[in-house]
Amino acid sequence: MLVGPEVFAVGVGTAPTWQTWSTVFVAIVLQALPYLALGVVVGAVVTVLVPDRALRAVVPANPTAAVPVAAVAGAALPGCECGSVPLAARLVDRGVRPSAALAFMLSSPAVNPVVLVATAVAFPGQPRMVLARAIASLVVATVVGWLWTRLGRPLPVRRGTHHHDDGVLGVVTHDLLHAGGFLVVGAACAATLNVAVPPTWVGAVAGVPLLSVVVLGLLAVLLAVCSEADAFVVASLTAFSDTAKLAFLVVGPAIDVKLAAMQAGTFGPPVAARLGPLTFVVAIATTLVVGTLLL
Amino acid sequence: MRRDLGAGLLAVVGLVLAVSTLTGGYLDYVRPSHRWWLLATAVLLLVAGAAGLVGWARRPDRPDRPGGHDDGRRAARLHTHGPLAAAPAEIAAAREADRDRGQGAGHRPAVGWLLVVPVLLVLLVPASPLGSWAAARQGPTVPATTARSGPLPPAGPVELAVPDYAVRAAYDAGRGIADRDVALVGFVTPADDGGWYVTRTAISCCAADARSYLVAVDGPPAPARDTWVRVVGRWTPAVTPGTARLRVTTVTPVPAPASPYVT
Repeated sequence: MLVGPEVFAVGVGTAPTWQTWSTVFVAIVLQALPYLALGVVVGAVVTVLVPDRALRAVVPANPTAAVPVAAVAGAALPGCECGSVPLAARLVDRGVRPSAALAFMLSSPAVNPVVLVATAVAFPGQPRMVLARAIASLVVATVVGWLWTRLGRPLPVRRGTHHHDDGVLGVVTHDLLHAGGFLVVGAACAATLNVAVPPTWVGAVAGVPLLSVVVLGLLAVLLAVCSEADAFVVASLTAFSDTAKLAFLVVGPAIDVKLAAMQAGTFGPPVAARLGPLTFVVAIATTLVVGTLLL
Repeated sequence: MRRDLGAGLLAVVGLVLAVSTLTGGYLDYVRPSHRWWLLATAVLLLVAGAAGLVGWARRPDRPDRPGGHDDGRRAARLHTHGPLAAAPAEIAAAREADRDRGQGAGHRPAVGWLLVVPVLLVLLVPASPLGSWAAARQGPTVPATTARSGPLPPAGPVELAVPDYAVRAAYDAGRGIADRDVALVGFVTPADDGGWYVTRTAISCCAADARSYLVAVDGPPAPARDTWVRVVGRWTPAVTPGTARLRVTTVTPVPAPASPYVT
């Protein structure tokens, strides 16, 4: 029977991999859970306490106008991206136009003040980076929202889960279990890619103009770094152009593996399968335009 | 998932979160300032869980209460087949009523069970912040950072954070510290050539956005991997551009800091 030292070495050699995976996975869950809870609580308050009249007064009836208004309103929800998915789902349940809810979901992780301040700290002396990020993210949210009205499928409305008689805490419990479960799926994907993707693999394409933009966009999807921290991560990739760095900042908060898992769980896989690629393409195109004009 | 189990699960997650935050275990995963967010979340989970359990215990048709019904579900009391079968419309209405009252099948999302996974990992996997393995994987090139430290003390060894020294050494030719004794605290990462690095991991939010700062040590032999040391030495130019090096005179073992990361 052959049990050589190499077999033992393989076992020991992978131990730090699993340890690192476990640390990164739990870190993502701990980091995201409070923001998820905030989004869930706001969603529960909207579901149970805000009367239809008030909601109609805030969201414009005109669909073309409602989308950019919702994108700008995204600035009001602080924190990272995870909270915006369950909140958007509750907004749809309450009859908010899906295109507007999606615009809110895509913009809020990128344009809220906490994230913009973090971006300014990570890029000192480069206020144009902050401006470019805010403008590009608002444009992405608005364009995806508008395109969704024409190309997308309707979002599922969960009839019978309004839980008006269940109270705020009942809705909070339901949504925490639902969104929290899919957060775990997304965090597991992100942690796996974090451990599997060597940190230096992107360096080779740093000098290639268009490809470097797409590659940093893809890296943002794979690594799923939360939007408060992504500016610090990408600022250290000094070999890349500012436009490529902008792609990382614009793509990441709108679509990454963690968000895709949560969107698939919340809106169903068919919706997520369309929304993800659409968001990615629009984000890369917007980055190229805004980067050329501003950076 | 049953309603009471869902509430209980949230309470357990909240309890583990609270204990991890209060004992400092969370510092292996996220930045110290996340503490208040975590505590608020733990309170919310505990309140939601407790309220759910109390509501479930008080429901009038609880099975173990005298006179209570079997399991509170109207649809469960209707025959769907056979001579006693109820009308399809009546069954549908009963099921609808069950759903509205949250008593139907799947009234708490079963995917919530996945929250057990991070709870088990926190409880069962021994705490281990990112260390030499992650650092060696990243390599010795110093991540460019734009953070700048404050003024240095006029005399004596300069206590610097490893990232601060690494950036000065790698990109600023030892700016301000080239002729000073420098003291660094970090953990040991072995190098491929038998040398070693004094290392520190920086995070912005959590361990998923970690960057490692490695300073090559010129001098004493390598202590054990991942042990924490304080080294004192002087700046010396590195061979490879973009890396940092320190000519070390003394190495002292130190206890691991409460927060393994610098932010």
